[in-house]
Amino acid sequence: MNAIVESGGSGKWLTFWLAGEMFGVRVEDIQEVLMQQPLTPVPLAADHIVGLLNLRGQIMQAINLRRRLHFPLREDDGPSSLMVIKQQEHFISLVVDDIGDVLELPAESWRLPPDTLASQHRSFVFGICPIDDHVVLGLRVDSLSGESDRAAQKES
Amino acid sequence: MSGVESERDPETLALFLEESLEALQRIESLMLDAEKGSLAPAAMATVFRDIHTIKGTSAFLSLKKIQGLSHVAETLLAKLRDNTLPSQPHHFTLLLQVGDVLRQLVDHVKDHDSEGEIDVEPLIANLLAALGPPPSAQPSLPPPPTKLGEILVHKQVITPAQLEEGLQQQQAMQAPANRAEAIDSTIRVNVAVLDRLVNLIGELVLARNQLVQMVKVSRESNANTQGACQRLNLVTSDLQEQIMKTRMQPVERVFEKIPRMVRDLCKSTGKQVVAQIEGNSTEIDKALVEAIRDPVMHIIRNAMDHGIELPQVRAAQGKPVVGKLAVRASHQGGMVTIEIEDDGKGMDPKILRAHALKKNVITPEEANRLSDRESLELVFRPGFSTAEKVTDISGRGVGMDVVRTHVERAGGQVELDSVVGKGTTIRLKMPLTLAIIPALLVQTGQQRFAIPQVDLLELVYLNEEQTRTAIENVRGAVIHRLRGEILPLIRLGDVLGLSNAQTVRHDGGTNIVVVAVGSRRYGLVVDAIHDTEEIVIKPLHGQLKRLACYSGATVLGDGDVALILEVAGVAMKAGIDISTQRAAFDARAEEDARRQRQSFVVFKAGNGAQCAVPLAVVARLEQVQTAQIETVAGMEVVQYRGTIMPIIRPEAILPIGKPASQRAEQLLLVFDFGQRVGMAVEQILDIVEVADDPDGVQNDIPLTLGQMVISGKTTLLLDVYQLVRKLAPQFVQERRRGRERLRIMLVDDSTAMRAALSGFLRARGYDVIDASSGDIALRELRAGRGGRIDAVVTDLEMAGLDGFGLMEALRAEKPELPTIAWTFHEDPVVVKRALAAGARCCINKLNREELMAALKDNGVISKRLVDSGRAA
Repeated sequence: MNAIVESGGSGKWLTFWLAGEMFGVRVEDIQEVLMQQPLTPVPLAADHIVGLLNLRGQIMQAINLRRRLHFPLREDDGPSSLMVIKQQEHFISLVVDDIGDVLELPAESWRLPPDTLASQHRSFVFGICPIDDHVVLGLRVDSLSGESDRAAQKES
Repeated sequence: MSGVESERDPETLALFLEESLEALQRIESLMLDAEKGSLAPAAMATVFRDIHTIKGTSAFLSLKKIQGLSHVAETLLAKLRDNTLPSQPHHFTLLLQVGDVLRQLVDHVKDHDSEGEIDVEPLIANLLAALGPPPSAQPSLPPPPTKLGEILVHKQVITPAQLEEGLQQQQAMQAPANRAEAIDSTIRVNVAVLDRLVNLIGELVLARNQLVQMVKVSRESNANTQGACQRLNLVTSDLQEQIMKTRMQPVERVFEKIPRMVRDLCKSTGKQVVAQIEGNSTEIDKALVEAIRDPVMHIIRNAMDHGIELPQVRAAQGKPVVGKLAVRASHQGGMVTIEIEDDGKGMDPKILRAHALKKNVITPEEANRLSDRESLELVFRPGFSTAEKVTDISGRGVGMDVVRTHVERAGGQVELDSVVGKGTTIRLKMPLTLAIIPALLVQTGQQRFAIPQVDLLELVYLNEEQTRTAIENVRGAVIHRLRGEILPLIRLGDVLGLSNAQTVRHDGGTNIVVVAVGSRRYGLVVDAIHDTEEIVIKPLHGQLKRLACYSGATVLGDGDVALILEVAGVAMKAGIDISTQRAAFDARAEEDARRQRQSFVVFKAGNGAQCAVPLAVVARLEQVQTAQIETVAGMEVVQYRGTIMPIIRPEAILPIGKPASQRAEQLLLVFDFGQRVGMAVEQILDIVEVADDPDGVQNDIPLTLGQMVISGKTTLLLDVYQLVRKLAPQFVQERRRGRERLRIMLVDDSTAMRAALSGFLRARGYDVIDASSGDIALRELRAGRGGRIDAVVTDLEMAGLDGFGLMEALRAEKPELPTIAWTFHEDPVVVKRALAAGARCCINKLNREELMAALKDNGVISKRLVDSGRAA
């Protein structure tokens, strides 16, 4: 009935937590999940790029998703997880608070995000999917390493 | 001619096809001219030679139709050339037709590996008819069908369409089988496979680096793991080297087009230019061969169009009427340098400035401020069109800026030197290979960065006192005077905004990495300088790609990621002001004399004696742990980059005393004579430029080039080669053993023939050095650059100095050097002429076994051959 989520695929979503919100990414887009890794900072890069990491010889950037989505930063220094996401020709990894369960979310249960969602978040969320007592925010993975954001670069 | 079929190796065939198409193009244009009138003797000789080469090579490759047709055409050409047949326009029309049919045949061979069904007989008949009254010329009837298919068609069993279809199927089935037979010592590999291999070896090198690092620091590792690790290390290095070799191609791939191009440009511009090409066999990564092709061609077009003057202008200026265009390729310090030099009018800085002003490339203020040297750089600015008027040669709106962009994208650099009235030299410095590069690791704050070795000029360390006194602050710009030149300094930590970077080292000293950006240089101040490492460049993605300070990232031996610095981007970010460099440029402006100056590495050896060696012989400076130096068979060696490197100590033979104490770390100057040799020294002092003044050198100490005064001190100039020979005789021995293969110089203007024969000779255990003309061969032999040569095998028909001339010259200059003529000619007159010119024997190109027999005797006369030649 809608074009929010293309049908097909397994219909399985990996959920994760970020600032108390539950997000979801198609399992097909996930390469793997890692525990904290040593990162090499990239001076002059945008704030949300927390560094480069070496995954079996592949170099990828790690993006702090809280920063990227303009969420408040964590106050505690607790452990975080890295989700490695397949992009067109390379990988990126996302630093998130915690990894949740894999849920089966049928395509027809997705809705457009409510108008009340803050505009700075809207470009990263393509839709929401209500489950039980809360909602899963669908993360638009292709928007993360793009250059659409004004914070893309500090360097002029 | 038996057994030739199986020797049609793909490489030779490809070369033949390329060469033939080129020759046919040439023939066509000459014939078109000739149709209007007659052909100049020189043009006739060119056509004759081209057809002759096609005939010979096609015979060699068993391409019967091409051979047959070109044979008859050659006969006609010979008659026309010798005027035994007065030339008429229809002769040239016929020859044009020959060209067309040959092209069809060659195209067919190219696409289908066979000559196809093209009928050459009618044309051959016409040619024979044109040759004059043949004794019993019969009107040419269609020959009776002899092939099974044709008989079937004739008898109307099948239709011609069915026959065609059947033949095609048959061909399709046979083709792979034929190819399999052709595979002998070479195979074709898809470049994509090689690229994949290169990527994989890159990963393997990284994994190896990590493993070696881990074993080094691990406390649990025992001798076994270390041994296995060491073996893995060596094998990986070897594998890497071999795989990189598979991608190497001679720059000839680019250079071979030059003579033709120069000739064409001469024709269209009315200029007279001789192209001199050297270093054809210099090898470079395949991707880089492609990358340099357009820039080189563009620079040559520029030189021909704007550089070299018209003959009358040159004559008026007292220059030789014929201009010179030299194109040289060579290996220098891990890079391939391609130098294109013309003796034209050079670039006038004043005109360049005026031009740039007119084109709005610079402002009037800038124009006033630019030094002459900086003005030369203007040609690299976008929008600067070098053409006074747009010509079809180089005024196509693309200029040197595109050349620079292309070269830099491939990791290279462009340098330009020009003297008004004397000429222009443009140098392209390209890395040998793209994927893996040596880089220096530096540290600032907690972070390590890689600086590609190609960007490095030198490392300078200022101690605490020098840091206080030798770093000046000129209105906000921090500079250091390095040997009289002003070097702007950039603190890497500041540029990158690293707050935790040190401002000075804990010992109060300063580490400066001097880097080059084009012709500019600056010093990068870092906290620490680590090792050099072979790194694999990985691109950055997304937003990071836009950060101009980095060209990529790499995984280091310990698994950490390091960013690779782009020194041009760092300079830009730091806002290096060109004006602060003006003094430096002005100081170097009168650089004419620079070519007579030589750079020396000055160092202390033995008990503090000041010594020097030419910078050109030093491949690297290295520091190794003294504990790593082992003694094997009385010779000190160290494992270095996957091989065993002998170490020599000059004090062992020179009167310079023993070092006062042994250090934990040993400094080495590494020389590269094909194999690396390290020389132990105590301290590197400086790199100085010294005027090449033979009178200033006193030579009374053996194994040295003499003594001279450098920086106020008497300095011993070491003769590196003699020292190595004396102190590392095993090493020299080894070289000699490796040299027992006979070295043949092969001279032939056909690339295909050279490839075919040199492959054959190498397979039979000879070393081959080839030359594409008599002139080049003679020059190489005179210069002795190829080392010892045991015999020369030369073609006879060549442009410029031909085989006869070459052999005559060699007989006069090097009578001990045997020469062998090899030709397709069986004409006794030619054979006699070759023997008269000094050939030990004259051998048919198709008969390679006979050549082997002649060479077996180390090129000494094979009596039988000479006798048979004389008898004929």
